[in-house]
Amino acid sequence: MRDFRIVYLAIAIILFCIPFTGEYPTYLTGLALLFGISALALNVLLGYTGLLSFGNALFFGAGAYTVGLLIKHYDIAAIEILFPASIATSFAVAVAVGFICVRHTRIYFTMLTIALASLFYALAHKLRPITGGDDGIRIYDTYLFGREIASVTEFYYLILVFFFASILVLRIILKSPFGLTLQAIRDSEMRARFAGISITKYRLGSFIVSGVFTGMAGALYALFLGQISPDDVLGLTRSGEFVAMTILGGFTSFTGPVVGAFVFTYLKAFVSSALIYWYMVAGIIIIGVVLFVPLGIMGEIERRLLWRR
Amino acid sequence: MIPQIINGLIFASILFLVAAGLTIIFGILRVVNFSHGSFYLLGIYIAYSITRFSQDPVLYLASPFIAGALAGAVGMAFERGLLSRVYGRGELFELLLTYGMIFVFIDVFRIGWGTMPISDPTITFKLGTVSIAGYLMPLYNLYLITIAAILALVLWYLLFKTRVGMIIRATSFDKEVTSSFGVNVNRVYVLTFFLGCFLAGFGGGLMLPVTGAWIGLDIDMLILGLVVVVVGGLGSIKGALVASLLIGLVRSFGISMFPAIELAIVYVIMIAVLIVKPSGLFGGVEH
Repeated sequence: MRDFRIVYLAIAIILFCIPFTGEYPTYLTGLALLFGISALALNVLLGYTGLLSFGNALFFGAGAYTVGLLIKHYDIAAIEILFPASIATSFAVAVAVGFICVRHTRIYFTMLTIALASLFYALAHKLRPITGGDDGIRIYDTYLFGREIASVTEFYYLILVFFFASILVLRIILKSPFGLTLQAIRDSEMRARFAGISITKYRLGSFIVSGVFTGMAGALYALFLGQISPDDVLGLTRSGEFVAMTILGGFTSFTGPVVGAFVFTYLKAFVSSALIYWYMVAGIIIIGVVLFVPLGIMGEIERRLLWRR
Repeated sequence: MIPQIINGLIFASILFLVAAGLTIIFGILRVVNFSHGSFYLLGIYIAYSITRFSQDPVLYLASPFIAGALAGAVGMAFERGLLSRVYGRGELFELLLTYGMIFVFIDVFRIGWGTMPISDPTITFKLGTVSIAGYLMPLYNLYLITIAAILALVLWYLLFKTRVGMIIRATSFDKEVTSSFGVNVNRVYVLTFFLGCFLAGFGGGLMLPVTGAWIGLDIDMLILGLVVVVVGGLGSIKGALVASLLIGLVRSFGISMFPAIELAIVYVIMIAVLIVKPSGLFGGVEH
């Protein structure tokens, strides 16, 4: 256990020092951190509850659009207001959508998440006077406690703080009786039911946790990029990326999704700058992981470490 | 009213072809083929390439069949080469495999047919128009609806009146028992995948003169197909038929009456159906 702590500490120090290496690496790492939060949140559902959501962009978009709409229509530029508002919105959306989705499991659940995310996508796309339609919304001049936050570095540290906080809180949630109950339901729904556990309630809880953290990442994304559009934050490909990251990193491991998010984000940046066929590469990576490394990067590493002992 | 109904029926025809393929594949393989929209798009692109050879109307009318057959062949290759390797490893991996294919297809389309939208309404002009209750309609639109209806009948006959159909239905009912009766279940899988992808590719080929193709249509069509399948009930062909008529007509009237929220109405119907009847209108598959 001790050697792992050193690894974590080293990673934390590296992440802290990233802004000294230049603006582009800071930007990329900032993105990777946001997506890391989203992938972790997705894995609350996938890895810990056994539900595959292909619609988590819904929460990401809910968070991002809360920021965008508040700035566009109400000129609210204070991050300390925008942020709780985003969390409240994604919470509300998660409760409403979860109410419909969690009565289903397996493929039905997955298809419902897609369809419900598509509903919000269609609305953001078509309600042009409110959402700006395809053009999306520009987000600028945001303040945190009266201080303007504008540079990539400032946003990066903001994201970093939320990243560590998310990891900590999610870790606590998943280790708590609530988290353990989710895993019990995942492993045997019938046994959990016989033990008197209200399965739907726990699944809804898991859905809300996933939604709130994804919404938070979405809000950070909107602030960090300064520009959001339906395709970017609400599309099926966004939801799919969260799944791809989680699988790539390993859904059986707590840290896997974060590793997946980092690998995916860097790879995407490097491949798209060198080659126009990023989609093909992404498709082949997903297929390759499914066929050859189904446990993902961290799952495979953990399996080998266990084997050695 | 008439134009909305005709447009709704066109939309319903295509939705049915796509959704029937999705639902048949699910019924047998228990896999939701996320790349189904890509097979639809592949059908349009293939039909486009075929009709580059000549302006002969016969070729235009034959192109959906060829496009469907080729899309079906690609589907068979995908099922045998990739999908069959992950059977039994859980639906997560099967889904992801078909999801990964979406992206492979996107770049195949970009390499093969470029990034610009394509369209070719030649056949619509060649066939001319007919007058229905005072409205001028392209004859091709009526042809499209008729051929889709015929295909629906053929599909019904194939599945419920022939020996092959009986075997397919038996496999969907109980794989182990069917295989113990000496049926080669793997061949049923390949055949089903061919059939499903044929329907998608055929639907795509039919739509070349109506909408043309653009990258992004694959995901739009996938999502609409999923909505139809969810509303109709996963695995039910009758459900796919009723739901595609419902969604097709609602969308057509929605476009003319509430253009801003026409797509949203479709999803709202889906949510309403699911709240009232979680397994869909004709859902028989347990979930």
